[in-house]
Amino acid sequence: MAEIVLQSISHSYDTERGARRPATSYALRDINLRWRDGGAYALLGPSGCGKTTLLGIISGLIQPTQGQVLYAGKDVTELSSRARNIAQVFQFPVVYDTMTVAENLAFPLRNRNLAAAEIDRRVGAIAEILELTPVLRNRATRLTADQKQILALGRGLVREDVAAILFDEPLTVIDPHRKWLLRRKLKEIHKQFHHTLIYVTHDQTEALTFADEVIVMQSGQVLQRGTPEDLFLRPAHTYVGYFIGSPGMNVLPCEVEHHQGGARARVGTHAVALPAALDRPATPTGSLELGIRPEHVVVLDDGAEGGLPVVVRTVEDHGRFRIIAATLGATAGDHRIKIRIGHPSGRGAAPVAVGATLRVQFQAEHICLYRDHRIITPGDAARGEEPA
Amino acid sequence: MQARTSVFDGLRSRWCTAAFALTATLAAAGCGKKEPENKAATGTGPATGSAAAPAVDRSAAVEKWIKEFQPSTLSHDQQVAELKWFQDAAKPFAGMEIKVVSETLTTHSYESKTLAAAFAELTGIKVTHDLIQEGDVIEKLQTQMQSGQNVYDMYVNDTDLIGTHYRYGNAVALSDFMTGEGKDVTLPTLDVDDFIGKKFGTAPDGKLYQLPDQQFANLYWFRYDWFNREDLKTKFKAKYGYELGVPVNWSAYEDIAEFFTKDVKELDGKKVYGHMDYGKKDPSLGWRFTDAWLSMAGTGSKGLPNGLPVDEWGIRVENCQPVGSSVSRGGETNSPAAVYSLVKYIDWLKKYAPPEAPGMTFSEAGPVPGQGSIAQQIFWYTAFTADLAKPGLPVVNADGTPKWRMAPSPHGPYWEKGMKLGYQDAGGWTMLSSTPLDRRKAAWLYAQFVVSKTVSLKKFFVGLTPIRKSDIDSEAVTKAAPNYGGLVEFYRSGARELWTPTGTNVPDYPKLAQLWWSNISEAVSGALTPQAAMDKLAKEMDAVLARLERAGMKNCPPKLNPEKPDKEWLGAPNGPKAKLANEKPKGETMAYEKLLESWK
Amino acid sequence: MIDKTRSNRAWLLILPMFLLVAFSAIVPLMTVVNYSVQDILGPQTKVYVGFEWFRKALRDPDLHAAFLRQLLYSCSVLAIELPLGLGISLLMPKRGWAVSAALVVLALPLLIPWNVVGTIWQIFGRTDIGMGGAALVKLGIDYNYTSNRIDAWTTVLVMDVWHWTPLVALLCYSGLRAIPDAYYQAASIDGASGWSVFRYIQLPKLKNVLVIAVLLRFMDSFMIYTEPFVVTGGGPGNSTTFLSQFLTTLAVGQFDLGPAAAFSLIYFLFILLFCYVFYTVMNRVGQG
Repeated sequence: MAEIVLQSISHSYDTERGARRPATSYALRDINLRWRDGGAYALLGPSGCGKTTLLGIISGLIQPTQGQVLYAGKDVTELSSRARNIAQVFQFPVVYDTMTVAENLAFPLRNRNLAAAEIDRRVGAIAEILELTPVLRNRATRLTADQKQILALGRGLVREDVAAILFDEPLTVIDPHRKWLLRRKLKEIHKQFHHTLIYVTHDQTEALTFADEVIVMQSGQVLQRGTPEDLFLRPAHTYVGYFIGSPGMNVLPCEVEHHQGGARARVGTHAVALPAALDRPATPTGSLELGIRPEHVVVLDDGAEGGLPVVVRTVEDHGRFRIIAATLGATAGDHRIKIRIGHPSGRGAAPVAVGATLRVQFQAEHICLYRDHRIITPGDAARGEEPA
Repeated sequence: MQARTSVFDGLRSRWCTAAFALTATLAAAGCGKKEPENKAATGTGPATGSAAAPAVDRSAAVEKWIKEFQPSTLSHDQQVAELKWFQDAAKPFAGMEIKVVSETLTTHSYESKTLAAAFAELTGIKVTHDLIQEGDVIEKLQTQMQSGQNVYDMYVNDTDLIGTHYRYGNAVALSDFMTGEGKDVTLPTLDVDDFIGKKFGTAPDGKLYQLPDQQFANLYWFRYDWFNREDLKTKFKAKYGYELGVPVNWSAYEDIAEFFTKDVKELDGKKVYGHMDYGKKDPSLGWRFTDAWLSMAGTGSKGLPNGLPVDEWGIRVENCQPVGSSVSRGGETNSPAAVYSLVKYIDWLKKYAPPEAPGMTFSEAGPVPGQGSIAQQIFWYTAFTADLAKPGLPVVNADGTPKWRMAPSPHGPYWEKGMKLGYQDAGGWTMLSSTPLDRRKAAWLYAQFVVSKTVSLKKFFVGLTPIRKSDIDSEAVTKAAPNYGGLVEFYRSGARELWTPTGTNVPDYPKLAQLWWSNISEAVSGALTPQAAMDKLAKEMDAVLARLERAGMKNCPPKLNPEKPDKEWLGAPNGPKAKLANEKPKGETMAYEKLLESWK
Repeated sequence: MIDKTRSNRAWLLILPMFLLVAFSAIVPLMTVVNYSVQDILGPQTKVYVGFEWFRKALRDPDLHAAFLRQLLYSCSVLAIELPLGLGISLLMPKRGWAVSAALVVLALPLLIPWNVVGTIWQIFGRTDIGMGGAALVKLGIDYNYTSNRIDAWTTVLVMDVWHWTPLVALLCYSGLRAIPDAYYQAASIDGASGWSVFRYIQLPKLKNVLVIAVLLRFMDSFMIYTEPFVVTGGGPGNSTTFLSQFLTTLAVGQFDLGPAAAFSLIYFLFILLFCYVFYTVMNRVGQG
């Protein structure tokens, strides 16, 4: 177990490491990350964002075109996966079909020439933890898909000095109703063994429920890293806001005006009051956007004063909550807003008719302002690539 | 799971297809499906077709081709008369497309390329003359006979099958045809008696079934120049006690073979051998024996053209019915004489022939004497005369005359005067009754054309396979004789009568011939002793005869004799010959010049 | 409950296919069965003989010998070609232009017509004009495939290996390409040796492909005719006379339709039996 550091990692599939010719397209650009020993991390992002490549670089299956990988301060960039002593669980269960479960678990240990007794002990212990003891004698092909993934995980755990366990979208082939079983198991393992776990996924639910810290990537770059809560409440990039949450954050182009009473954002013909924190004397250049999550859009009661008028376009009933898609302003080309309203328990709230006009208000403390897609924070902190 | 099922489904269907394809192919072979070669006859073209062509063109064609057909035993006017007869007789068939087939010999190549073209130009009948291997010709013949479907309109087929054709009744009796249905298409100047091979194509009923088209004999070949070298003659006489010359018996042949291979070993810097032969397991190994090897050793009864009652296959007939080939039934296939012939063949092949010889087939062994290291060869077809007389070869002199000669083959110790000696291959035009009449008539015209006196002498000079006495005796041939190493002398002599094809004793040539090569090759490889191999062969031949007897044949079906102990038959009059106490009497030779004298 | 409707019109639609199969497969097969119980010497000369040909065939010592020889041949072929083909496929390049080049070179022997293959090797093995034969003789080895049984067998086997190993190699190669990279990566992480990778990943995943290869090679080698016939003619003696040559001499050379039909049925049933047994065993093994 060790701290893992990525320094200035760039990777292109076009050229080899150390080649003189510059590459034409990069899968990863100048990534600098540090993972604490024992943390549970998720790499989240859409397909093609480079997360699998990054995982490959960490595990040693891919050699980065530029940059270094350090384990506990030691440069392991040139070392093989076996030498780095990491474990990896793949998208589909990789088990050795001709071996039994016990033999599967014993395999990595046998390759390291451990004593037979020692191997048996560890295999038994891991099997116990993973609840595989009843099937130890069975052929590995007979297991169900989720059991096989657990077995694959077990092959990683069986080595006590494993540096990190990497997961590459491991729940892809698992039935939905069994996914939670695996997630539960993973959390138990983490609690018990405190391995560094790095989990790659494109599913935000998995990432947010599994990890202590989530790293969101897009197009080969890290957009933000932080706890799930951070990502939810303060997305550092409009893309993060859009990606996280169901539905994603509402992003509205705006202009900022300063008045005596405070700053205001002008969205179209409407004005939205901004919180004090965002009241800056100088209005910076660049395109400005206002972000507010659907959960933080409050529908005012009938007859209340103030708020923005929106016209309801569609209403989706999801059981425990409703999502209302509405437009701000009556004319065409106006901005779309999604509103997420949780029901009071039991009966639903008053039904909302399509075409009706509602008055909504944005919760001020949750308004985010973005310049060129990046969040403007008090003190203008750097964009989320700092060490944790 | 899904993927696995589909893999095996694919497997299953592949295997099903393979199995069905195998059976379908076999059935097709036997089912006698109509061969696609049989194009529908375009029918008798209307007279207008040929009449439209101006008569001027036709006589120009006649003149043009007469120039090609020189020399000839006919005068210019006689040739014109024959060709004009062909043009007239062919008028009803103008425009027809005829298919005939023969084996691949120089003579047939000439027919196929030149004569067919001439015929088409002269008469308007288009002839496709296919050239394939002899074995394949027999295959096509059998297909037509078994299925009754017309495959070819006429065949040039060895008269070895005369017994087969006669007994199955599928072939048309040409002598009847010429005076009956085919009267109007029979050349008046055909002169059938002029053919030296007429009796080969004649059946026991006295009718002609096959009209000879080409002939060649299996003779003895030797290096006349080496046999005349004084140093070799002296050395030979000193060792063996008699003169080096054309061997008259097998003992002499063996001595000469041993002499050249083991004693002389090298001449003019090149390795020499006293024997050449072939022995690879191949259908050609069958003819090596059925082409009279046994009778050369002396197996069989007296009688010409073939021994009666026992012929050179060892098959005995009584009243034209085959009664058996094993000694126990009175045949001679596994008799001491036959076994002797096999023993000698194997011996000489292994001891005196070049080391590659046992691995060669007939066609591979053919050109070897021409390369200059062979002193003599006992089994040599005169069909190779032209190939070995080419200028520039090591065996040909600067003036174009050959260094070698051919002579009658030596005979083995069992041979008696009155027996046939060697084999003559006679290809004859055969007409099957399953061919429609009009097509037969058109094909018959072509057949006669290629053997007519107009073309036959020219054809002889191209392919060296004589068929007409008039050609052999002609001036032109006398002039050319020195270039042919004795071929002409042989054909002019009476010795020629002793060289005949397989005769009427053999009731089904294709089935019986195929039994020989697999059994002989087992003896060659040593898997069976020669006696055991011949015993097996005789047994298998008798089994076939029994089946033919059971099924019944149209004429003279086999009627197997009951088996008797061998010793009851051996040595009986007209029966298989008993084993000789001395199978190697003293060698006898004759000087080649003396031989020629004796023929005059 | 919704009932599925039955339409008998569907039968009409398969009628053309049915006719085609009947004409090309069933009718000929029945004809062969018909011939197998008769002695056919001519269109008018047919005699019913019952099971005589079958009895004769099953008792014929030549046939037994040919059969055993054939089995020995097929087994030798499998024993050599499968490991060799597998080995070659493991050595082949995995990406780049070298892949296409290797595939083309490998496929070349498969494109040659079979009797040409036989002729090539027949001439190649001759001690006077053949490169191979002459070279062996120069090296002092007493080689003659026409008179020596061992040499004949060796030549025929080497010819078959040269001709057909590429098929096995190509099949195995395609099977190998189908193995996802993740398996290799997992093995690398687990520290598996090259041998372990072969034994635990590649070989099990190639099982289906190898089954196909075995079946194809067995069937093809069991019916082999042209190649050995052209090289040795079945000689010396009978040492390289395999079953199909036996059959062809009967059927085509002698035109002996009765015994040939009976024998071909026996041949057919044997292959059927083998395939059935093999397929069942493989299925069991796969599920076990």
